[in-house]
Amino acid sequence: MSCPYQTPSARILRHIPLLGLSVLRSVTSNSQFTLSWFSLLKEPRYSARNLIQLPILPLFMAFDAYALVQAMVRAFVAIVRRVYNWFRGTCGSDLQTTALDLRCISWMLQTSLDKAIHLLTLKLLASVTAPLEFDPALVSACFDVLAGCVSIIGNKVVIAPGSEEVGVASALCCLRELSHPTTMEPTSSVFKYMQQRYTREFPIEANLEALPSYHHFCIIHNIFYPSRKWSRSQGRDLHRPKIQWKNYKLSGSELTILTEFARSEYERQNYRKVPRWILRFAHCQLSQDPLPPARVVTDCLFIISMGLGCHVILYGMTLDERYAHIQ
Amino acid sequence: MPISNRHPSFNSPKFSVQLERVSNLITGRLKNMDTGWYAQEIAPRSKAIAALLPYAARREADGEGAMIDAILCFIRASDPQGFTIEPTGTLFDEGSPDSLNRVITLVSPYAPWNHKSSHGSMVTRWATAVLAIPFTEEVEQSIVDTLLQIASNNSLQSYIPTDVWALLKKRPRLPPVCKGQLVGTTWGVVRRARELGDIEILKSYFLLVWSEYATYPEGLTSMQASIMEDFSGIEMGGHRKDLIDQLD
Repeated sequence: MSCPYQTPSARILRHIPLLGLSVLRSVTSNSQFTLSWFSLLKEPRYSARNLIQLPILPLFMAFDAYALVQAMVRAFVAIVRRVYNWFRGTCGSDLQTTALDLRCISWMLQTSLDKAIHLLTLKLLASVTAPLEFDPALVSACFDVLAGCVSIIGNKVVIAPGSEEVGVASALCCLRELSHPTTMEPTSSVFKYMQQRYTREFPIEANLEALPSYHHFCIIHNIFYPSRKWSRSQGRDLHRPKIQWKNYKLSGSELTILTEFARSEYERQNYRKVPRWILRFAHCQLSQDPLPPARVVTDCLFIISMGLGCHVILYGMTLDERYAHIQ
Repeated sequence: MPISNRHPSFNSPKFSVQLERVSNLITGRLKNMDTGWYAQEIAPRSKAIAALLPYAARREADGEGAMIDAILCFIRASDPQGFTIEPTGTLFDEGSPDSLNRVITLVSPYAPWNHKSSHGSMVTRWATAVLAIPFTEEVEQSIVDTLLQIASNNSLQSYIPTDVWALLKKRPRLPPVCKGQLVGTTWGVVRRARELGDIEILKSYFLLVWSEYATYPEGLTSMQASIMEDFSGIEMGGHRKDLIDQLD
């Protein structure tokens, strides 16, 4: 497997031939009037008819010059914009750079066996603020790291000694990847594959209380076990552990993840309901005194509005657009 | 560290505007929601409403009662016996402000009075609220419905002050559909009403719960015993007319 990482110079050099081609195409396409004047000329070239058309040539050339200047200005603006985006990309918001970084992260998680590398890579993934592109390999890689950090003793899920930090980071990254709408689509094969793997490894009644990132694990558990399960051998319904939201310290990224989950789950449930554990999260936040910040309250109301059957938005909208699309 | 300190932008005016907008949309949605659904369609909506309740209560305390009114209207029209507010809520906490008295009174019939999480201080907060607000038909129906539910829980009934029982003397009526109607006729409630030692309260209690609806058999037996012992059988004196009218 080759590393997808490229240096900044390589990235710039990759664009130069494309830029040259686009300039050439621009010059050619903007000389259309002059070229068409030449095509109007009939044989012989020195005929009187052609001479009559000669005064039109400057006019055609002027048109072409105007179009060419206009195209050059546009190209210049585009280049400036690209440079600006490149600078912003160094802060982590350039989508192309992000996509490349994510491929690199996925590659490192899959090929490395070193915990320290895993931890660094996961921290890098958690620091990416741009919307993530859906990458099945990355989802799977995060899950592999997560599954490698924990073990089950009896009914209790415990984290392997020395893997605490990796476990916390992988749980958060796993959650983030899972919250991507493409993963959570009802027909998503990635989701089904992950669910099969998860349910094989973790029993529905697993006790998660000893885990350092209890809430993250609980959310993942509730996603892969969306409802109680009938056990033929035990002759009873098996229930998931209830998430205790009291005293939960919410962070900004988790709020976005939970809101996306609510939306994805709402779609998965054929627009009938939002899972109760997410509604209880909203209830807990709205019960706080004093109320959490306006953004948190708005997102909680957004979750509840789906529970009330309001029709909401599609993925990819900004927050403003999202709230504007509740009907 | 609070989230507002970690993310100062979360409190920006932009979000406050969006918050107001989403709140109004939800209120509008509640007002226009179809109440004629089947139970399995209402249940998920009820869960969402239960999650919304603390926020609606807070808006009411801030002087904006439209959301809570819309919620109550929907519950009464759709699922008054099935709806339950989240037991983890803080509405009935002793420290909740007086501005929530009306909300506490009106939503109290939907509180989980038979849930293990219910405790005496919830009843105390409720009693404080009901004694402090003006008595309207809507309020009185909520009070008596809740009173019967609390009284049916043996561990909570002792927390109900006599002043609240005395409100029965105003002859309130139960809502047409409510949880208190049935649970209010259990043996424990009849016994408690007799223990108060106020014949007027006892008579008002009988007048309240007697109806064509279901009554617990053991409760009925206790009522018969009460009529024999407390009202001296057929010699009920001044109470006779009232009771006979209600029985008819």
